[in-house]
Amino acid sequence: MAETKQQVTDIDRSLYDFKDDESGDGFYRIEEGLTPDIVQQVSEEKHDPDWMRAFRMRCLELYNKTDMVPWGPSIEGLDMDRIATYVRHKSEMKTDWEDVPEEIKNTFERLGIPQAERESLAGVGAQYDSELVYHNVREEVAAAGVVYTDLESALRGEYAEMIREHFMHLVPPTDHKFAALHGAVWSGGSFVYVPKGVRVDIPLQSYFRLNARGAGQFEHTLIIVDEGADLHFIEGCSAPKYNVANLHAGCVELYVARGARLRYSTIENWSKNMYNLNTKRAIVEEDGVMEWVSGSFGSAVSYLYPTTILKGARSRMEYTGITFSGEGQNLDTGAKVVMQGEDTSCVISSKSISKSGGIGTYRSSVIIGRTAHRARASVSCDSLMLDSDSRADTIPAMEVLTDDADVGHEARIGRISDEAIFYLMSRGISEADARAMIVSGFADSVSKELPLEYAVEMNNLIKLEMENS
Amino acid sequence: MKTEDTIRVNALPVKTYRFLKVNDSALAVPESLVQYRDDWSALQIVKPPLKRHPDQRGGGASPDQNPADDPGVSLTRSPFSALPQEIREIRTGMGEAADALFEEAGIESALLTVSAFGATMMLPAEITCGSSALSSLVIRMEAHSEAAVILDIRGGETGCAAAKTFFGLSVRVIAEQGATLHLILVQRLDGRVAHFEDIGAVCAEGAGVDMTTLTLGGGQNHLGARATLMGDNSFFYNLSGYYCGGSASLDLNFIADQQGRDTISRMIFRGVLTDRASKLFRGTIDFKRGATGSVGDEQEDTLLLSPDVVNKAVPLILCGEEDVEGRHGATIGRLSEEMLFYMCARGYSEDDARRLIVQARLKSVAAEIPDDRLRWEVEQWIEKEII
Repeated sequence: MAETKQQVTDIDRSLYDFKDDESGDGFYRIEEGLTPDIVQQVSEEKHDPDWMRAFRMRCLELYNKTDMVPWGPSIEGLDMDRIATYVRHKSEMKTDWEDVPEEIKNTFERLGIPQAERESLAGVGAQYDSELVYHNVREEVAAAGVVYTDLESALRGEYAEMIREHFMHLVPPTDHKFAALHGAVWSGGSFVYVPKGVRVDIPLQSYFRLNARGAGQFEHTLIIVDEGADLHFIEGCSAPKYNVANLHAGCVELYVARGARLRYSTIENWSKNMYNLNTKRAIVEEDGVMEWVSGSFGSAVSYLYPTTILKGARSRMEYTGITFSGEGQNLDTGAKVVMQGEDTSCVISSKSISKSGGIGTYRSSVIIGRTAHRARASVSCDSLMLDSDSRADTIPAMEVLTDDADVGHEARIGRISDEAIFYLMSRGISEADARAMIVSGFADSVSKELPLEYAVEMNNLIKLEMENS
Repeated sequence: MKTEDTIRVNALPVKTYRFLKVNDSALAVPESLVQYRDDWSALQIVKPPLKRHPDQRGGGASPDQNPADDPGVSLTRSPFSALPQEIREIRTGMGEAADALFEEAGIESALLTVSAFGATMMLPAEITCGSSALSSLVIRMEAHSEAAVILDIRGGETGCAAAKTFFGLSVRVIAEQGATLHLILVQRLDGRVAHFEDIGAVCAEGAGVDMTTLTLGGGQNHLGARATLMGDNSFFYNLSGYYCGGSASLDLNFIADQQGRDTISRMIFRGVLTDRASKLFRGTIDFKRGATGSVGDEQEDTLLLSPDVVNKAVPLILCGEEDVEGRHGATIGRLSEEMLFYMCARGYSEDDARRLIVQARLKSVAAEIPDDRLRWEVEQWIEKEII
């Protein structure tokens, strides 16, 4: 077996890396930085109710008081004084695709969003910079009582009280510095309510595009799946690359009621100047099911650990994730779970691939509380190193406070086995193809959890990474 | 050092979430610390060395030479603060804050130099109740030497029920080319004793440390061990057993720092927690860039026997090299129902079956003690104390 190492090229991001000029009159951009005046301006732009205005100001105070965590990748390259926290197109949100401004429509056309909506989605929300530009849900889904709308409309409409009861209760602004930042300047995002017993058979999707240079995106996603209901929600994100830092500090709060099921899938492909400091959290009641499917491919720095609180008896959680770290990327990803109910269970399966100097860190915590009798947790994390310029670290933690829990944990780090490549080559497959096949196979457990169209997109991203290898 | 100080020890090599409170631990240190009364000069050679290896320094000795005439073992003393630089630079599991205790208390280190092959040495430490003592041992394994060093730490239980007892032990090891040290630490202290064991080893080409720790007593226990595998083909094997009952705590930090090519680390931990005991396990396999062909394996198996225990585990793999294989696994839970059923079906009561299983787990670690008498004593202790 030859010992020569294959070079793996960087991803071709031309599919995502196109920019629209936002210097014209069609866009409103708030001044860069983070001051009480700026937060006030965001609040005015959003026509916030009084409680939200006060909440934003309290969050700003918390942000200024809270220190950055002493662990994780460096965010020294992120200067909040050079981030515009609010940028929007001057047109209003549309519910008919044809009414969306041409330049924005072109962006989402290139990303394939309207086509996906026609072919495989029950509803779509498209956010461009700080605001939703399009939101639509199929008639039959709406007729079943499913609410899928932008959060601002919900905040002022008939669901106002429901929003107030749930908004940043699961992720309080005291949680960490960027949760506080989110609370101060959040804008955009979606609200979904699935009534009792309603099953939404095909997924809803929100797509987040941050086009502006030196800007932040702070969308808030709030989903409530009521008793016995079922939903698959897909989140996609991308941005063009700039030579200045961009910031994504979104927040996702998911409420899964008794006997309900929610699958939350993410294909994250931010550009490599993005600091992705996103917070996602779910709480699950009795017999509820929370499933996370996560593919992280983009951004310069990521801190991303979807968290699940298994509050109700027999509730369960599955996390299936893959992270692909390439040149210049430091992606710190994983999952957290807090098990409180009796007979709760969780399965965490994480894959990580590092290449070309990329740093991939799997970080997790599994906490089994005193009341979680007979809880079961299974954690596995596999990391694949494609060269020695890269890093792959696994940092799992477990805390068990009851004697009748069963916890299993395993992790492996290694490279592509020479024997596997040799086996494939002996059957007429080139070394490059053999490597690509092995990496695709490594990621298979994640892609098979996605709807076909998204699995194809994820496999294409992996293939692009492996091209010419 | 200030009186009644608290130092931070057993830091994770890479920090993680603060809310878990695992990034490091606090160690409360008594007002004044003194030299442990025994300066290790009571070294017992329970098994004399064999002949010198031909490749050893001074290897011209006759194979027929009486080992007693040239045991290949020497013991000298040096103030901790005056230890040679290469020894001072050895990083340990508990970290620099523990070193400072030895320096500031003016502790003398015993320097054990081994140039022979096949010796087994016993260094007993009988801790006096109410004392606050530190002891430091440096072991230099010369090229191609091999020896077993057993540290038997016990005591602290007689005569002064209300007094606090504190004992801290530092062991630093230099294993030169091709040398192997079997290091066995057995701790059977009284449950009111606060104690720590801080170990650091540097291994040259083909050298290694094969360590066994058995923690059976003590109130607040801290163990830190770090093996720096500098040389190609160097190795670190560790087997740890522990039993924590009452309100005892055990804080562990084991690190295999793999720098050379084709290095091997294998760390196994078997523990039992009961009553209100708490345990925090940190185990790290750290593959540095250039450690091609290296392998690291870490397994933790913890048995929980009470609903009031606190069990935390943070098993890390840090990897800066592609051509390595790293694995870790952890199993945490109660006694297997199947095993209990099997034993009950053969006439054991459930309590007896439970006790036998727990004792067997600890005896499997005690079996690694190379001194027959001590092994028998420890097995007796397990049978008597763990019921």
